[in-house]
Amino acid sequence: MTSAEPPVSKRDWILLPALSLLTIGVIVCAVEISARILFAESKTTTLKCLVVNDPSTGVRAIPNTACTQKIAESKLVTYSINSCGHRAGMECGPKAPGVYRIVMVGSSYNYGMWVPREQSFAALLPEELSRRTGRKVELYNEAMQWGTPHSVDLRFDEVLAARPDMILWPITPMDIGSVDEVLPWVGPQANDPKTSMGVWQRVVTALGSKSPSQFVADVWARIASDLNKTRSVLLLQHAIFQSQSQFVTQYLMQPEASDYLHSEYSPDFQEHLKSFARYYADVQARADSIGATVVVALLPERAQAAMISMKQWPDGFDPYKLGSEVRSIVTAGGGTYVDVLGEFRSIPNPERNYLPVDGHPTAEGHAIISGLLAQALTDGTAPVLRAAR
Amino acid sequence: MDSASIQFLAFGLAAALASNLSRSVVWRSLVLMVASVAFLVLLAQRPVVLLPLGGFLLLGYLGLVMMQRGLHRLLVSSILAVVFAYIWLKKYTFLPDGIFLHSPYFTLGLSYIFFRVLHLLIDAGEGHERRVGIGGYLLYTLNFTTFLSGPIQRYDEFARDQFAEQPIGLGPRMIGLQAERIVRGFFKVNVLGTLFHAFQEDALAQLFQPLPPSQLLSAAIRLAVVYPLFLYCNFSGYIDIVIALARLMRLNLPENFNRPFSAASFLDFWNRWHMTLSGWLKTYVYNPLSIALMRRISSVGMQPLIGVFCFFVTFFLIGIWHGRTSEFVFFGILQGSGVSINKLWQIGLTRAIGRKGYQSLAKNPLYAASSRGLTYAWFSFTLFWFWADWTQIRGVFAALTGPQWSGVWLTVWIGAAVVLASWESLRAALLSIKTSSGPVLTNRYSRVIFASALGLAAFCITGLLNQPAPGIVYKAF
Repeated sequence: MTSAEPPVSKRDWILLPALSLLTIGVIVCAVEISARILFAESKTTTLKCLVVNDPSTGVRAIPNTACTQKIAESKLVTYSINSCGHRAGMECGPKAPGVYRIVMVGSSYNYGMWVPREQSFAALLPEELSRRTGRKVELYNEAMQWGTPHSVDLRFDEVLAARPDMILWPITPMDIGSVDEVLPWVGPQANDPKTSMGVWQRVVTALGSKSPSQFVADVWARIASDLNKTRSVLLLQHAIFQSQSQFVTQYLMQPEASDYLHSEYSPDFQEHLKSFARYYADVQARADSIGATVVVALLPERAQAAMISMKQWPDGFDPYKLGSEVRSIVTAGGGTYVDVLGEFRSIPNPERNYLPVDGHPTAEGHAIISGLLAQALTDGTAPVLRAAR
Repeated sequence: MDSASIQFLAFGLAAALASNLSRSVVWRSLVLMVASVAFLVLLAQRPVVLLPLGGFLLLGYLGLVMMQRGLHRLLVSSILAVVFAYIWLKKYTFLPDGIFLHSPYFTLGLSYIFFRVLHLLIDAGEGHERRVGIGGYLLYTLNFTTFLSGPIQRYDEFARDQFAEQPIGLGPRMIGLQAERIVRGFFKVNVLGTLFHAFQEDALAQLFQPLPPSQLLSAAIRLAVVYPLFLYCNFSGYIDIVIALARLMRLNLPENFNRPFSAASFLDFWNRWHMTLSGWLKTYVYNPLSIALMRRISSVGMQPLIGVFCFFVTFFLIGIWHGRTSEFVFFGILQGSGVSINKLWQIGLTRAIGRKGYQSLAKNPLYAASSRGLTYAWFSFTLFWFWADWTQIRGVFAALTGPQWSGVWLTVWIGAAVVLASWESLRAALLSIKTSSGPVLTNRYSRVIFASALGLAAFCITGLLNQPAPGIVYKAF
């Protein structure tokens, strides 16, 4: 009964809310500081070694440079670029006699993003292939950060200049999703009128042009977006995404990113596939002109690998579908497609070989990819390497 | 609207706010009725699917009216009619498929309405003096705070608060306590429950992957250990929320959990887990059955065994009430066997070493810890038939050999014994830190700190668990 309840003292009316706020403040600060220590990032980035504003080539590296970068989930990694602008681990130039040369193209997976070069599959694969075939196989890596299919096509003359016996193009779903992109978005643009406005000016502008509910939704989205950039959120996500099922569940909530996993593609994604087919056809034709074999493999993203390994997924999804689509495009164009997706069925918890939040493969992931590619390239799928055995 | 979601909380708090605008019985009843109907409509979305549920309520009310008019001879047939209607609407698989309704209809909450209706019917049939009108009947059976998952409240307790001219008090301190309880419940369901569920799914998936035996054993242990924790957090967290919401509407709901994993035996466990369900079955199944059997079997030596038999029947019914398939029949057999064997053990041990000897043994910390561990292990084992179907169960058990599974259950038993004993000791030690006003851990300042921390964690982690996982950040370097 109210009458039986002792009254709350004046002191408690102030002290209890203050204690609550203090608790929240202390926890927020403690978690953020801990997260910044545990998930530190370097101040240097790979951007220093890149040209990111040339639409005629797409992103390319500046020759003879070296950059270091550590993102929250990775180690500090050095990216050394040779005199031809490639993270190849060797100098460019003609191949030695008797050497079977593979030139690899593609994007950040192939570039070895966030792993030391010697641990990337670009470095591991030629060793494995040499061991399996008994002849010297070298892999010259021309893959690049943001190496979308469009930019691969733009820079393909460099590939031809390396006189490859084989052009290896491991492709990822995100490459298809960004197929037509050439240049990345790099930070706020100085000429964007919004970024030069003050906060108050932006609020007034937004209030004048939006309904109140839209304004509130936008404000909340902005707050959520800013919160998502904190290291505390990264720490929590890193922990949560260790769970295979939870990660897959949350990944599939994102319609755009998970489009490639649907059993029915959206019209946008179908257009992306058509674009890929066009770039691929051009690459294949130019490779044919020097007699080089083009070999394509679809490398799974983290959620896709997890779904294949779990052997079950919700209705309306199919982690194998994109592999079939890419295979059709490649084989129709006269190239060779090697399947590594199916092998993920027998890899327990393959998602552990990717950075949980960033999504790129770890060194362990690169080793697995190297093994799978080596197996696929020497089991008879790629005739040249089989014959070389 | 999911149970224990933000929307449900907002709905419940809005109803509580409206209810407190006036202390009059009519107003509070009107608010509860409107909120309950609105809740039902929000859940069902199409009112037409509510018709079978309405029919069930009508059937129950007709039986109640007959009992209240003195037609007590129709009690058994009324009970049978309600039980059959329940089984039919729930589509128990032992009934022929052809007799079921095949258009979709709404059965959420029916399991709990069933208990409330039977309670009113049996009490009225046995000559209970109370009169229940249609308004009270609907308020009691449809009360949105107890609709989905209980607790199973008795009508008298409900009526005492709901129809009191002077409603129970609600001051700032009580509001603060309920806010704390809501935060606790929300955290249990949406954070702990979600994470435990994910761990269970991961462990289950791992059991079917080509892993070395040590990792398969680890997955099996996690699978066994995690599900009871998930179930506890999910269910008791929801109960925390609805008890708090009801209290804010000036209704006291009965407690449904009392630290069940502290139970020192399987019998004790069921006194602490889903307490209102076991209490209901004790009143309406165990007691009448044991009295009836004791009247017929006069042998004193048989009386303990009658108790054992009645325990089996009662807890077998608990099993089959939970679901309509053969898995739940087996679940019921395992529950019934658990309590029966536990009772036989107690009887045997008392006969062997005497009552005092048994009591002394039960207080022995090692014996208590071992019993607690065994209770946990047995409960988690029985739950396989609660969360899985036969195909999954066969797959799970085929993943390891018989000796490996024996090792798993032994590990769960010993592990639970050690962890739960440590937890009990830690809890006791923390509660022993006292000031003149009581344990430091339970004073209002500690509670505010605890609730604030939990609230912050619940807000952030629930937000993160419900937002899409990022793809590779490709557009920004």
